[in-house]
Amino acid sequence: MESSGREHPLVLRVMRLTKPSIVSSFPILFEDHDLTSKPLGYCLEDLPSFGTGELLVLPQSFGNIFLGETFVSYLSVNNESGNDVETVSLKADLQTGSQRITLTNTAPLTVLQHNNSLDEVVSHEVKEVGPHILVCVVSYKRPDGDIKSFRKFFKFQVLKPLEVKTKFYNIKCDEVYLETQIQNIMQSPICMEKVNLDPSPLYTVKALNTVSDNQSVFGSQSYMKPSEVWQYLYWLKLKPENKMQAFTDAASAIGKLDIVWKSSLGEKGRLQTSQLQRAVMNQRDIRLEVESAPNTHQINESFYLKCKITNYSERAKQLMVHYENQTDILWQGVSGYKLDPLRSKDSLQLNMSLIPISPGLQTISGLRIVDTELSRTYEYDDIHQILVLSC
Amino acid sequence: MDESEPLPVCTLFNQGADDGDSGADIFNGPPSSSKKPVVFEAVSVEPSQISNMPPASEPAVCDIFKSTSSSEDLFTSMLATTSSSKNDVSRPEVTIERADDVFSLDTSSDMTRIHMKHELSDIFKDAIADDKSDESEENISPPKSPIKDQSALDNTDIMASILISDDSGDNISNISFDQSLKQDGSAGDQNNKAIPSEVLQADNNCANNEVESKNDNKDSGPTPKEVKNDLKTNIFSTPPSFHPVSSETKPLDPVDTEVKDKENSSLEDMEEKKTEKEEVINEPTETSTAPLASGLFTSTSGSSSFDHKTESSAFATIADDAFSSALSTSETDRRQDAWIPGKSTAAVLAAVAQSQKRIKLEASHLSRPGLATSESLGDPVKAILARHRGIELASKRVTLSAESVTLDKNGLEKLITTGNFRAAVDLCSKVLTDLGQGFGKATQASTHSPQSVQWWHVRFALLIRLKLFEMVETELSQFGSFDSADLYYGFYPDVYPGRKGSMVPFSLRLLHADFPRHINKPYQALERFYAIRTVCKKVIDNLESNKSEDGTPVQLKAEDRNASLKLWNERKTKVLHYIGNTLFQLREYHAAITTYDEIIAQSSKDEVSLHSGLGRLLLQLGDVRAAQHRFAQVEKLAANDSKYRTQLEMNRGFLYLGANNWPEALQQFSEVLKHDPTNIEALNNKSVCLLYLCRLKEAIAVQETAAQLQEDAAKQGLTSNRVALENSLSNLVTLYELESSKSLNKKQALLQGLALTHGDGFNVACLKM
Repeated sequence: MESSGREHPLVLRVMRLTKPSIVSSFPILFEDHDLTSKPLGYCLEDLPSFGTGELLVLPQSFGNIFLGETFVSYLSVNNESGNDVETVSLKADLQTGSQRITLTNTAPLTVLQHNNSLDEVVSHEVKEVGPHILVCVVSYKRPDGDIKSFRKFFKFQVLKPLEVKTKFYNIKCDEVYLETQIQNIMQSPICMEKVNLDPSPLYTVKALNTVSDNQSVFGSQSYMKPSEVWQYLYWLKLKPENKMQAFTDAASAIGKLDIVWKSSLGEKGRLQTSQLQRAVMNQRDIRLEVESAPNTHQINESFYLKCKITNYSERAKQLMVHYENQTDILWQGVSGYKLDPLRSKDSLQLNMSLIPISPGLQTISGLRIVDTELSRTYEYDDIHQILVLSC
Repeated sequence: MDESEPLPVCTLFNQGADDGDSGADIFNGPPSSSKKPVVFEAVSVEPSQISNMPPASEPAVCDIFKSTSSSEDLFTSMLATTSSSKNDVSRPEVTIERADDVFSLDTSSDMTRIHMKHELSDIFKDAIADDKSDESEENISPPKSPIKDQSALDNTDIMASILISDDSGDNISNISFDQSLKQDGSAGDQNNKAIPSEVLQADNNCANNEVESKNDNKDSGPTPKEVKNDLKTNIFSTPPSFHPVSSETKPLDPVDTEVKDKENSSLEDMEEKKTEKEEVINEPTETSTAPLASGLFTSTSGSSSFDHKTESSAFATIADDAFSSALSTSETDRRQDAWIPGKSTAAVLAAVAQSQKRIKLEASHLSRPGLATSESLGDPVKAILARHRGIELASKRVTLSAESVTLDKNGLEKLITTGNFRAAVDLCSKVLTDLGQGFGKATQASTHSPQSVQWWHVRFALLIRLKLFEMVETELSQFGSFDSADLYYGFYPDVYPGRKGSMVPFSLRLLHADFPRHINKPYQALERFYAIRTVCKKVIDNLESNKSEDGTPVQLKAEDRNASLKLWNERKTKVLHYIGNTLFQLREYHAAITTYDEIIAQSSKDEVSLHSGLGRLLLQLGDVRAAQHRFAQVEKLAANDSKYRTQLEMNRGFLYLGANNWPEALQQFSEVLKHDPTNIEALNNKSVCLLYLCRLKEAIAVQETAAQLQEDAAKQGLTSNRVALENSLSNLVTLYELESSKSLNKKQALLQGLALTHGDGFNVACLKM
């Protein structure tokens, strides 16, 4: 360790500055009438049996560094030559898998006296996982006028702090629920400061993570233990003006999750997910939406199902309606009738009659719309559900 | 995380890879930085590990505790079912072993009985789990007369020890006893119902055998109590029986008296048959071969196996104390010493109090401590000084040793105040050796006194302070759960007439409970703390219902009662603190915070300090918002109160730290130093802030000031905060390492300075040399 320093009058020392920790006291107490009564371990004067002291302890090891945390490091160039050294400068870069970031590049110091040091604290929010290399270059002028320099490399791994899993529930073409599971895969507990869904411009979002009186669904435990999974729920809606884009690619990007946590002594970490993509609902040229239908109905009594048919294609369509009867609810009226020509982006209303013949929760299925020009059939099942009451 | 102990690891990337002047590609020359982050290794306690740590894997100490209590329960209910007949003497628990041929005679019936009992125990296991009758402690009636037949008892002891050495376990080695069979021969009630008739039958037979065989010098009823699983299956030899203690002290039944006579005769028999072989049954969990109860009285009869002189001198002082100051100190003593023994222990004590001659004792009723080593602990400071600065310099280091002080409290104080903890441990060794509990004395008969227990207490505390945990573990386990009968004053009615309670200081109980935390068994610690808290609650309940601490219906004077309530409430609070600390170590932060809040809810006395402490705890956890809330509460509570000035400024400093605002934090710690310039925490924290503000040289200077101030204080014999100093020195050494590659020189200089003022208890590990 000394050998490399010998060649150069300067020595570079580097220390990672994670947050210090607060010393834990271990009280060893006596009562007044005991053989000896002074406490032996470290403890607070006012509160000897309390376990957390007031003394900060510097980090004793490099520790782990996680994506989204800030890498802070102390760089110290010390002159141990016994003579003054001229024109000393320090440059530090961080080499990641994909890029090289300059953390500091000091202007040359005219003279660095013996036993003095050129100090620098660099910090960088790590945005990549995997190996990182801190590259430090120290340059100085030798007494003979030559510019000399030496480099030091310090390698470390950036680890993944959280496991984020998302799941979408498409409710309607313009509404979707996002379920996010966030798991703490670090070894220490963290406090979630913020878990926000920043929606893409097409959407508005409502977080569903509080219960009635604005209490967090996670209860009073403010921290997430290692390997715990917390589940967050968001309700996204297309803004009314963007409804027509429901089946375009633009609607598949719904936003980014912004996660901010704090760990030991407020050490902050922040992660933003990439754009979350939902599978766009089957893009169909012809879209059917239920406008009105009863939720409950008596058995053997007909009811009306009012639907809207929209032509999302670029061309006008000539359509024909067929019914395929199901076992529990029967279509009534004429099957195989033609509709008026439907222009692009236009919609029309359809009023159909059905009769339920079995009690219970029944599903309306079996509507078929045929594009007569392309002889293509659009099948509509699971259109609506209705609770059929027996007499 | 429980230790403030600096790790010998350096934070620095010691030396990065060096490519000299050449501009080699970084990726070709693999950097040799020695501090690669180790994935998933840094944390000491994984919660998963914690949850995998079943309480079942706990060491013997706890098991003893558990087993005795459960066996008591078992026993009581057994009795409850058996003793409707008056044949109490014949309780199956009675254990007498005599001649070998007893076995040949009785083996079969024993076996059946064993099995039956086992079944019974199964049957009752669940039913009695909740059976926690408190009667036993109320039964302790005022001691009557000292035990008369001491010489007889002493003799029995001799006999027992002879027999112990004369191991004749082979006789029973082929009998397979159920390990889980735990019977306890203690007290019980008489008012109960029927049990399976076979059992009764067996018991009766047994009783008959017993009585008959006594005349033939053949005690019968070899009921194995607990049998060691290993080869040396010894049977614990005890006098036949003692009388059950009923809730109301009834006059003894004629039957009982009769039996008592027989017992006496059997005692005489035993005396005559000293040389006869006996086997001793051990508790499986007990490491010692258990001697007889009467061994405790050896000191007065002179048949003891240990140094008699010191022993009796110790006794003399105790006796003096007990007699002369009995009146003046009795209230305080009673208050401080009060403890509620476990049922089995209570039964023994009650029996002693009733002056019964034949008291049935088990290994678990006695503690047989002895030192784990006879060697002096030496002086590591000297050793490391010799290594780094030469033997000559090291030889100039003079510290106090156990030899240079008096063998008493004063000597101990001297060693402790000068930081010579190792010498203080040696001093404890000496005193305890003189008291007959020295090296190699474990498992041997010795007598406890408040003094001996106090010396043990100090010894344990010092060893923990020195982190010599293995030694503590060994020695501490010899005391079981500190509930053996011989640790109660009531066990020695002639030495401490009228004195009640336990010799075990309350702080020693806490130390015992806290110890498993140091060896990474926090759940065990928690279990012990809750047990202590239960007793505290019981004591407080007793006091509040106008009884004395242990539940004796005595009318205490109002101020006496209040003083006692105060003491016990304080003790209870202390236990809560320890519970909170343990939960914190377990990383059950939520539970820990709830526990501390419970303390605040009970008393607003320490509100400011507690909220501040909780603020720091929350900050450490990362819950900055909650920490803010706590600190805000403190601001409100302590506003305009100058005595809280330091606390408030410290809090603000911490809060700024949490917000990553180093300049403001620095400012706050400097504020503290303005009016409290020697505050080591503030100095240390200021230094830390300076480092993060890229002011290494200043950080070092501040830390050196802190060290200097502590050294000055040490010279005046004022250091009370050695651990804080060690932490601050550890930080200083880290700074030295960052400052220069020649940090070793500075460390050596530091060591040399420290060696002048610090005792052998100084933790040299903090210098990382």
